[in-house]
Amino acid sequence: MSELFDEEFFARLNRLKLAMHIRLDRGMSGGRKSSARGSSVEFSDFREYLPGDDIRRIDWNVYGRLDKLYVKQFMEEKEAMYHIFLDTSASMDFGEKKKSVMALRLTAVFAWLVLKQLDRVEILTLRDGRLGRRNAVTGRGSFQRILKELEQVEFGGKTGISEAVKRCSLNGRGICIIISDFLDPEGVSEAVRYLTYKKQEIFLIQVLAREEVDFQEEGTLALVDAETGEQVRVTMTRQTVEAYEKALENHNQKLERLAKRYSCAFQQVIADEEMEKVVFQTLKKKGIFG
Amino acid sequence: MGFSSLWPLALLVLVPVIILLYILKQEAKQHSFSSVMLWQEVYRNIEATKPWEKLKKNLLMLLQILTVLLFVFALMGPWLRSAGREHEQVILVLDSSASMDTLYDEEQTRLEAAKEAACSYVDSLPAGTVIHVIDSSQQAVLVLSSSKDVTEAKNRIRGIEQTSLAGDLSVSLGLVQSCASQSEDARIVFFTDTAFDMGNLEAAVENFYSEADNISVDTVGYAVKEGKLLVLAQLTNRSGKTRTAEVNLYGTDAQQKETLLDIASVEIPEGESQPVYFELEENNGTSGMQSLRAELNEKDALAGDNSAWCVVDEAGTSRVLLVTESNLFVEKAFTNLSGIELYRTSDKNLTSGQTAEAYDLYIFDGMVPDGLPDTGSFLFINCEAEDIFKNCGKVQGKMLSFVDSDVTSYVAGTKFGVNESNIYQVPSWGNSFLKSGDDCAGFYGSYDGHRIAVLGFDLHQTDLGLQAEFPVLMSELADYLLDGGLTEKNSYTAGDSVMLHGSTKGSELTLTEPDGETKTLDASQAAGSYVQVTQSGIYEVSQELDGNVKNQKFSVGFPTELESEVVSAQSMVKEDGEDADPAVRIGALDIRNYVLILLLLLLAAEWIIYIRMQ
Repeated sequence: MSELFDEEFFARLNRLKLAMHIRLDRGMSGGRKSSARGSSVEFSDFREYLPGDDIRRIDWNVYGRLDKLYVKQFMEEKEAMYHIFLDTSASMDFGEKKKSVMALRLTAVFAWLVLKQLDRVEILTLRDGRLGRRNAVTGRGSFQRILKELEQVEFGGKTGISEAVKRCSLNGRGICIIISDFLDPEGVSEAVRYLTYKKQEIFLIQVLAREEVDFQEEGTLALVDAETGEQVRVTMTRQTVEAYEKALENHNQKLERLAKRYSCAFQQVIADEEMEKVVFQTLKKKGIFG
Repeated sequence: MGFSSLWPLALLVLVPVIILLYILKQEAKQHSFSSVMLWQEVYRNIEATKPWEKLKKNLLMLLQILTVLLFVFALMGPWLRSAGREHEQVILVLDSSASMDTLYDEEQTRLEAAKEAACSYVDSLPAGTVIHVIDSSQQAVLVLSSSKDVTEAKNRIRGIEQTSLAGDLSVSLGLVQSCASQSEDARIVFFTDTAFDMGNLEAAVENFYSEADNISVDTVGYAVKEGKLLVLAQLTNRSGKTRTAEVNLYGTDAQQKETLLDIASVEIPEGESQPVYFELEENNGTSGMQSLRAELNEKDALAGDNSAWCVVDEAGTSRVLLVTESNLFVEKAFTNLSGIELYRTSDKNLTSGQTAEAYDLYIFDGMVPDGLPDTGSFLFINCEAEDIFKNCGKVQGKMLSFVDSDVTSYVAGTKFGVNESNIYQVPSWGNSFLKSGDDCAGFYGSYDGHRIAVLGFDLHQTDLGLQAEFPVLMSELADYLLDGGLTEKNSYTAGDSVMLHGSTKGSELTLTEPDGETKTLDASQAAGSYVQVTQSGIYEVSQELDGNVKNQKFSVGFPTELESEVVSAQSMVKEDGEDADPAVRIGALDIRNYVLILLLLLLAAEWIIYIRMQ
């Protein structure tokens, strides 16, 4: 068991299921209902027997009553494909309680839930507009491997979410979770459009440090960008701090509008919040967990 | 607009200091942040939406600079020219006494500054105002009376000349009140540097007192001892710190050629006087010198008191003729006096006539010649000379006493008994020095070019000759009677009135002033006339009598005691007994208080902005 999670945390995770609002028509057999008729044990419908049908599926009781051959149809159960995009740029490695820690834990939580319900998950890291791909895994046994991989993730470089996401080839419907601070000058709208086009259900999880939402510094500061090294000289007055808070609010409102437009879910998470609160209250309320 | 003082401009050095402090303050602390994307947006938004934001960033600095500028402005005492309330007539009194020659600033003296201020005030007067201008020094002179002509008034003001005379404006009060009585609505303005008592007069005073360093040469004197000329100059440091003064001693010979004789220096503590000694050998160019001048080597704020003069008497022997039957007391007393050759005769008529020798002093003891000599001084002892003085009778068995006078400095109060003494009516030219009760038994004075002293009793009829005071009295009388120049003494102060002792029988009397100008007086005015000396330096009086030209030089010094004190607070202007504001500007609206109010508002605004920015 990883240090990131304790036993009680996993016990509570076991009681959760990820919300899934789409019907899958492609993918490997799994534990999720699909629009296709398949070979699961769950009854779906009857239809008349046609030559070539498996005679084991003929409902003999119906034949006894109606004297006609009917074949039982069952739901096809397919596994869902989850892509978790984790922003590993330098800006994520910020804060007294680091955003990177919260992002990694959230990634682990999502992965665990996905694996628990027999779906397939792939964790992709984003940095400098490039995509760090790992093999998609399924089955609970893969979780330890995921944790090991997450522990080895390093944060640095620039972000480039849209550029990186567009490099990801996606087949069929699925769920994409993007965990980032979304403080990317290039924006995230390109990535959302691309993923929507690829018929993905999208969750945008914004992780911010406490210092970013509640700025306490005073005096004249030369703010150095952790990613670009760019400097901005600002005299911290009440007005400038208020202007910053307003700018952050506007930025988040844009993200929310973007999310609504493409039927995405958006949620902000603060890095110093308790993981339980984030998972069981914040994300559950938003419908990300169900 | 004008300013009371310019020294606060030096405080403008604070402005670059404030800017420097802000430059130092602007050093920003490096602070790592996840992303400056939003901060850049904040920066752009503030700049875009509020163009004055750049200014606002430095608003506190600008306010602080403005505060310093206003503070300096207030310290400079700004005032606006304004006529204020209109008056029917204006009386301007300018002090032209010696102290007004002190430098007011680097370019002008106090009097020049006062004249400039007075002209500015005249310019600000409404048309039709009646203007009086009074020049006041030792005396007050009305230089312009009841004029509405502004140009004329300014010309008269500019025409007021600096004097070397002592005086304050209290002498002008009578004249001022006389002018003011012409109208009920009169505005009186005094321009002076010195305190004076203006009584109950309602007037404004514009003060031209200015702090200045000054050393005065108060006196210079000499003595001849063992063939050496010993010169002493008295200096007073009237500045606020210890000063070292270098004094040059000059001698002027008969050809009016001035020669530098010696240089000495002395350190004088603040407010104290120090003597400077010069010891000159007789053959070291000092022979033939007629006057000496001690002068400070360096100029100071008041140039007028940097020199002092004295006249060198020609060393010689005075010839005294004692006309008496016998008077051992007088003979012994005069024999013991130095520089005197005493001749005795019992022939009273030896003193008159063409063949008579001239003596410096004739002592007539109990007898008077038929005709008195034309020259020389006379001492009458127990004589009657109806042409010169009148005998009012005799007293017997009385005690006589000496009263204080120029010839009884050391014997005043001495009493002695007399068997019989004449009583005199003191003539207009005489001063009593010996009295019997209220009656005069002895007097002295100057009459028709002669110095005369009269004793009303026979010395043999008293015990005076046996007293120790007798030779002292004779010495003092000899000093007075043998100093038989054309003036009473050879040292005066500017502003003094000098009594002339010329002869009415001689030619016209000529007075040559230090600047070379000459004045002449008729022979009829040569005796007993007073002439006021107004310049510092050496004056010369001359008169021709019987073919002989009689010359006398006398020195006139600067009135240092009254006019050199340019630092003392006593010279601050007082108005109605209270210290007046030295910054009072007549015809000017003092805007310092308004500037100070503005300064306070600015400080309050700065404080509010500072709080809001935090």
